Amino acid sequence: MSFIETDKETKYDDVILNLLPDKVEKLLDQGYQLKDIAILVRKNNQAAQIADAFMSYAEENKDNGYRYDVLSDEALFLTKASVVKCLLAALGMVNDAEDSLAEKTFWIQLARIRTIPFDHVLFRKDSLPEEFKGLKESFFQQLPVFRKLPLMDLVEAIIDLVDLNEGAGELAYLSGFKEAVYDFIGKNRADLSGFLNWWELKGYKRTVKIPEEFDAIRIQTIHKSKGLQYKVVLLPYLDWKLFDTGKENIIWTKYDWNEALPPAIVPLSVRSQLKDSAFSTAYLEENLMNHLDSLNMLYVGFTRAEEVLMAMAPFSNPNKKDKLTTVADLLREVMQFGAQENELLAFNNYYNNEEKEFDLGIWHLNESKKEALPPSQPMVWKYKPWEKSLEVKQAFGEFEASDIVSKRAFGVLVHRIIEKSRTKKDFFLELQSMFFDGAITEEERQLLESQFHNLCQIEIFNSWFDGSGKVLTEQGIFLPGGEHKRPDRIIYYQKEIAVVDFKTGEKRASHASQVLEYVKLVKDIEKGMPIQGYICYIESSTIEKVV
Amino acid sequence: MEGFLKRTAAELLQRGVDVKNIQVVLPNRRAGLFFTKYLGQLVSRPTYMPKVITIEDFFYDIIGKRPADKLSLIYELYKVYKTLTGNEEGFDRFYFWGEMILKDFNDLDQFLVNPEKLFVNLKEQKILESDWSFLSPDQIELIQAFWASFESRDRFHQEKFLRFWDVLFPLYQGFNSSLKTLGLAYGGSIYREVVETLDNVPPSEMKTVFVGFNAFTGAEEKLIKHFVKNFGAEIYWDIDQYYLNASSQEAGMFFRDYKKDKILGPTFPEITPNKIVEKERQVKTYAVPLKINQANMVGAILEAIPQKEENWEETVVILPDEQLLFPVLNLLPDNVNKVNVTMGYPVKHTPIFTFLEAVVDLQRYSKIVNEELMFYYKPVKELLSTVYLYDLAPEFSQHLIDEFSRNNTLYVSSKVLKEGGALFAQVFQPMTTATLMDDILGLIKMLADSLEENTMERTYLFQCFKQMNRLKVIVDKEIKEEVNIAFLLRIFKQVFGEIKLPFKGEPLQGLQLMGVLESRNLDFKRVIICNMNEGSFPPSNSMNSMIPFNLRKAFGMPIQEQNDAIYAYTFYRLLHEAQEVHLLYTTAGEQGKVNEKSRYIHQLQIEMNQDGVQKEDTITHIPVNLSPTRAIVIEKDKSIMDHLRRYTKPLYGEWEPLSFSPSALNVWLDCRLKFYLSYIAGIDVPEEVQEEVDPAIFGNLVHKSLENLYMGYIERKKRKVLQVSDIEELNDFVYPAVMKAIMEQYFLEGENPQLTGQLVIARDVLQKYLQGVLLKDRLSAPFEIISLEAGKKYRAFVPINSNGEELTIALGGIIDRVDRIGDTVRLIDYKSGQDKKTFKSVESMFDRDSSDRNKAAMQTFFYGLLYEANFPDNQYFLKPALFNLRDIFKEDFNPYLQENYGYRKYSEVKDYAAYREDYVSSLKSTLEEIFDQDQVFDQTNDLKKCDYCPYAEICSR
Repeated sequence: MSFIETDKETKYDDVILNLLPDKVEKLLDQGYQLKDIAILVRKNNQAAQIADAFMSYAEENKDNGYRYDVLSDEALFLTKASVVKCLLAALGMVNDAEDSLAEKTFWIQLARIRTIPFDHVLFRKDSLPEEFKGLKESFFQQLPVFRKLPLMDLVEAIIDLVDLNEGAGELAYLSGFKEAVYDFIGKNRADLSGFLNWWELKGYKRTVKIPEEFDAIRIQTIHKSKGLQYKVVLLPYLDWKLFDTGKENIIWTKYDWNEALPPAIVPLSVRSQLKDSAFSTAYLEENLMNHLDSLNMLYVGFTRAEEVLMAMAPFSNPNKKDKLTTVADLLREVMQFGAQENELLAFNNYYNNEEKEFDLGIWHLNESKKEALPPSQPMVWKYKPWEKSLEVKQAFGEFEASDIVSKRAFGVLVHRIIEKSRTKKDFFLELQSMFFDGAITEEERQLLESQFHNLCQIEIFNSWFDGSGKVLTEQGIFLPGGEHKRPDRIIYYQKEIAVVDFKTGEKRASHASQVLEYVKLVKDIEKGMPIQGYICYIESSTIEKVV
Repeated sequence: MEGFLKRTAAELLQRGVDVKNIQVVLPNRRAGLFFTKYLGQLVSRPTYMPKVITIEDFFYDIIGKRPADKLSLIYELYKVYKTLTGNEEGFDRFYFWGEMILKDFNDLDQFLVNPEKLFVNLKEQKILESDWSFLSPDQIELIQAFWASFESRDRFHQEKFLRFWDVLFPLYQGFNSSLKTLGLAYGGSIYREVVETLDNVPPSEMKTVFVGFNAFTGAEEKLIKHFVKNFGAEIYWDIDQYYLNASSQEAGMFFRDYKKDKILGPTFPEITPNKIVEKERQVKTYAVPLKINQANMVGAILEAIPQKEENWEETVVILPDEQLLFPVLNLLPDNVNKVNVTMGYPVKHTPIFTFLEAVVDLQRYSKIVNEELMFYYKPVKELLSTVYLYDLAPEFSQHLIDEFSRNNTLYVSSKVLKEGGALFAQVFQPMTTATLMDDILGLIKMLADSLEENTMERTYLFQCFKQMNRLKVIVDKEIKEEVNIAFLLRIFKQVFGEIKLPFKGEPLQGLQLMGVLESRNLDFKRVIICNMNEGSFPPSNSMNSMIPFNLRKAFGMPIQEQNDAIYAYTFYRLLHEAQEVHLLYTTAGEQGKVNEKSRYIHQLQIEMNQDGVQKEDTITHIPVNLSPTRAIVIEKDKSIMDHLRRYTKPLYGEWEPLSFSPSALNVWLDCRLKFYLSYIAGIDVPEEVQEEVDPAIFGNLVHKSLENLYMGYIERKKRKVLQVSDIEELNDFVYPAVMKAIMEQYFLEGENPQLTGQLVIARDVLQKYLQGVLLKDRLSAPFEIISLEAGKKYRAFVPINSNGEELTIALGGIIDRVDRIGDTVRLIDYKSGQDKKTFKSVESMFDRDSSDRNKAAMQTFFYGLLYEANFPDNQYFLKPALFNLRDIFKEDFNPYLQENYGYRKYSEVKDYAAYREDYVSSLKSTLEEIFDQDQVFDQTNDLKKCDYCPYAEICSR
């Protein structure tokens, strides 16, 4: 436990931030690993500050043999990364091409990523450095395409166009941002302006995620560390107020303002002036609770460590009234305690008043296992639009309420149903499921039904569906080598076999030769049975006998 | 490659029977496709295909029925429910209940549960739960004390609650008989009917073979047994000793039961394959930080596969979370040349669909004002910015969008919006339950007309069009009058959210991407599974049912245990033939939560004793490197110096000089870069519509109101001196002065418009403030008003020495109010925020490093300078004053500046002249700094100043 003296010029926070890398290096030298170390703080922004400090320290001391990776849910905000700022600005431009602030932000952040100098040419409205002119042109050329892309594809397309995947670094942040988009479209209407709104309200709080197993220093709030334990715990910010009246704390208190009426419940801002008011009881109670909270917090912080605990607090001399305002004051006083009665620990024996340091215990023996990170698993960061790998099947049709009737689609539809139906009953079943699927309307269903009835007026057509023969519909014929042919219909009557193919559209010579081929195949399989081949033109209700 | 389906195909062929007369029943279509493919590869001469059918179709074909769509079914259910209960509950409220009831009916039919027994049991259990008769009087008293309304709840609600359970069985009966009359059916009812009429099923002329089943529903089991027992049907099981023989393996749960069965038992093969143990395979496990990173990882795994690999169909990527499909597809390495995806393309992610959805949604944000339809500006603005409207009429749309922020429009009339053209008219029209369907259909048609043939968008639209037609039929025919528009919106979203479009491609070729259940019966050499997390694989299926666990279990309906067994089986059977398995899981769940890795990985690592199984997961780490935020420093080049020149007075009047306002100087003192960005680089900050009365707007209103009040006086009385009596009179003009300001600010019209919400509060607070000002003014009366803000813009010129050159800098500003009391002229600034009136020294007002630099003091002294420049003969004292309105009711209110010249020592500023010399000299050095060629524009060191700076994103702060 060390108390740190500061003067007017230096701030305690800055001293701490300078001190921490040093402490960590010493711990690593003692044989601890990064993941053994937890830095517990009081507030989220302290976590963020520490994480930033470690990152910039690591950047400045690249080759000193140490790593300073940190792992924290509270610290590594996505918005800190230039790639994220750049992407957000680009999305802003797609959303509103007139947004000149977004556009400038985009170019400036991109200049930051590509280390292009900051100068007036870059910053001035309506001007850009040479390096960007080509990109600007292609960006605005792509804009109409961008505006029709689904959100996720849009983000990928921009990343690709601006080339943020490779070379830009900050991949953890980029991934985090993509994940945010991914989560957003999983839950919401996947539109751009909705996303940008959401980002402003909630998304900006998102942080980089690192696997728990990764060897890195944990930075956490004391609150969240409850119930957890670590080999080494650092408590750098033991400086909070025992009772902070500066925050806008509100308490709801009873107030007997008129004896004839039941007491009113009034909201009060907790301020020290309350002590001398009618609300002094409420104030004192609040004061007590806050002190208890502070003590609890200290208890939690001091009891997380398995082997090493390092605590730091700012030093200040006792004030005139000996009033204890911060936990640091409290700890300073404790250091002077001797052991009373059956207490085991005399603090003052271990406290060095000169150094202002409390030092108890000996170091655990650890074998130094400073090991290099295992080579990181390769990942692919290239973007290849999915449309290059596969296409969505196009559906054709007319946008008319009953689109099938007028056009060829009608024949195609009848064809599709007939080829699946072995009997008349099958036909109506098939028709019904198409109706339930929403593929056809009620009128269309009736039309198709009557069309089928019409076809059944033809005697030979009727015989294909009346159950007088055994029908094979979707059972095609395998050819050796895995190929297959699918005649629409093969009917086994008692003494003969009929092969039928249904056609839509104009009559063509190839139709007949196709049926002939089918007939030949069936002949190969069923030797000795007479076989007939038919082509049935659905729209004109004509049947042609081929064989 | 070897596999279950291929083996089965070969076995069937070997028997030499006529394949034409075989029907093969499989769990799903995809398995059928692969089965046919393998069979085809094995034939040596032309041969018929067997009939290949899914189990569902097998049922449907026997009875000749197909299930009706959900919406119609729920509506039928609703009609029966209404006649049974006489309840007047609307259909929209019933819908989500109905969905659950239908699902339960379906379940209990599929599992052949006796509905009467089940529902009687259910009701009795509910009575038990809501019956408090077992409580002692003491206990009841305790509860009553705790819950005052205990008594009434006990009687009325409890009975109503129980009546609901009473109705379930009659509902089931009524529903089924009404469906029968209509010739409709749902899945479960078809299954039950088939099983109940088993004896009527004619012996099939085909031989039936059931292939690759794991868990049967009650109805399936009965039907299959019937076929095995009576028609000699056969079953091919896709199993392995690993889980079949170990009772601890949930994957084998169903098989173990079936093996004990009299009829099913004999269908199991004599020798069960033991491939999981016998075959060696590599199993690699990866911990990946984010869901999205799995795509990067899959890409890397695929890329590492040797280039000569041609048989991509032997590799499968299984995606328990369908949403991951596109991230994975977007990162496929180039060596993957063919892809086959079983999942469809979700139309809901396309911009054209989000546009339609936004159009429908817009209706929720409309209101009728004076018989005119108005839309809330936000959704309108978003619609106008879409490519579909904006690009049709860019100028029109941009103009409207600009107007919103310029006029602070909160609601915009549909009349105005319709002027954009036919499509605008279609979008911005009132839609009711009766017209919504046709309106949207019309809109789809119009959108389609503008598209070229064969575009994907047209295909998406066409899908929507078809679904909409179907929806319209049902709604028109049945439920038109009974639902409100909000319900239609919900149905619209639900129905359309599910539309998926199939991908082109040969299903049996290329890299296979599929969901978990689609992999059933298929075997692959290389298996890559993503989302190996608890909750994804196995999924955490919360059973959405009214029937509680104990009853489900007692009546043999599926419970979580069965679900788990099914997923465990789908996982383990993928190991049968796999030589290489890659399992990916993510460590970060939803924000803040940790994702747990799947139990299957733990099981493999602990239970499976094979060298190939990686015992410690590979942890992928993406380095968290942040590129350092480079400080921004802009040097003054010639063009910047030229730009600055425009703020100087030219020698011969070549240009009309711009002038520096006190706020520009304050910006310079706060942050030189901010000054640069806003005054030199000219980067505009976009305006936004202000719905709330934010501090800036409120400040505006304060100024306007006060100006209205006094300007009105001057105009009415044609004189500028105010007496005490005048002030009293002015009290009556407070209200109109405030209202006029509000109406101008928010572009309101009419004689006396109705204010709502925050504006009412703002109006009342403003009135209070104005009354406060009048109170103070009464004490100062009589006084003469010299100028009011809009009335006069003051200017001044200050000579400086810049880079060895004499320059004359133009300054200017508006003073809120200048008045004269006796021999003192007051230079008044109204403040609605919290501004201090104390300052340490004149220099401190210009000291950018001082944490309590008094900007307001700097500003009001500036007015002194301006006043003198405009009235060079001035003989009066010039007294700066800050009217902070928040403090105006304080007894010790004092608007004058106080110089703090020592500890607790203050002196009031009585005359600008006393400070003139110091002030002008500080001002000059500030201006000289601005014009100093070597003074760069750099960022402030005080990060607090960046909190509300609009350029913070540029600075990365």
